[in-house]
Amino acid sequence: MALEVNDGNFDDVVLKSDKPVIVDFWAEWCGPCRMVAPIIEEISKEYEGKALVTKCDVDSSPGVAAKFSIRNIPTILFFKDGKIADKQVGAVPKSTFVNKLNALLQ
Amino acid sequence: MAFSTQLMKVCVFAASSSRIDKEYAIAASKLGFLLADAGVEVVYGGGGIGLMGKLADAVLENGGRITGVIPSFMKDAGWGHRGVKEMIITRDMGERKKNMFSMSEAVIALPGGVGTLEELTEAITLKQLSLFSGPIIILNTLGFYKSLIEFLDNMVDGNFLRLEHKGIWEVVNTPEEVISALNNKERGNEEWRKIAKI
Repeated sequence: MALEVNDGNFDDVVLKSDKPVIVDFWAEWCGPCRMVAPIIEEISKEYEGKALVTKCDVDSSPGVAAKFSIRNIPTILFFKDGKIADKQVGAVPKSTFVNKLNALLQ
Repeated sequence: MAFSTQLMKVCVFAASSSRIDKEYAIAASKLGFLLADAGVEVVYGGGGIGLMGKLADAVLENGGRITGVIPSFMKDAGWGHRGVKEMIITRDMGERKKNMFSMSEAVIALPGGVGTLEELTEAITLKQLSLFSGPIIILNTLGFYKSLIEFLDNMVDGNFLRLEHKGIWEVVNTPEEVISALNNKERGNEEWRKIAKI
């Protein structure tokens, strides 16, 4: 299950993680985000223990959204060792996310 | 006959009123003829009167396939088209619309009253939420939909609707343009399907 991150816990959960982290920036009114959501859930299950999969609602976490200059959603940021290692903007097939994540696990 | 529309299932929403300008009926009949010719399978509200009736008559006369989806209370009141053999009877209006959307790959709205308006705007809403995909084509016979189009522009101006979501529907003026729109795979800017701007 993808973990909810927000302005309050982002630094602790994402930046301080010892594993690669995916952050799926989304909002309720965003159609393409709905298409990406099930893919993120699948990845969350498949990579349990190897990578941390999280979601961030931009409407309730404006601080985090602004910090990373999120302009379009869905934006999926890939973090490693507290830094952005990769990024995907827009709805794309699962394989794109998986390839990016696997690259960080090498 | 264009190959890409063959066997495409298309939902048509239209007026039940028969008291309207005959230009609307002429366009509805023409559309029915063209849809049958294009091999499109039509799904519609099952009515025997108004533009629904005209459309169904034209599809049947030209050997096309048409399925009516009608709530039982309308069928019991005798509102169903007598000539449409494939008729799905639903419990209520909600189930009717749900069936029509799940059966269809595209939506066409002809001029109509509040029923048609409600069905058209539900189609737009579902597509915005990515719960329906496929073209939504508004046949603007005699400029009928002019004020709705202006109203939708007002929604964009007031930020009630995103500009990029205007790509959800397409307005055409003739039945021939409806068929072109159904055939058209390159459908303008559909970036809004992949990305939403904050």
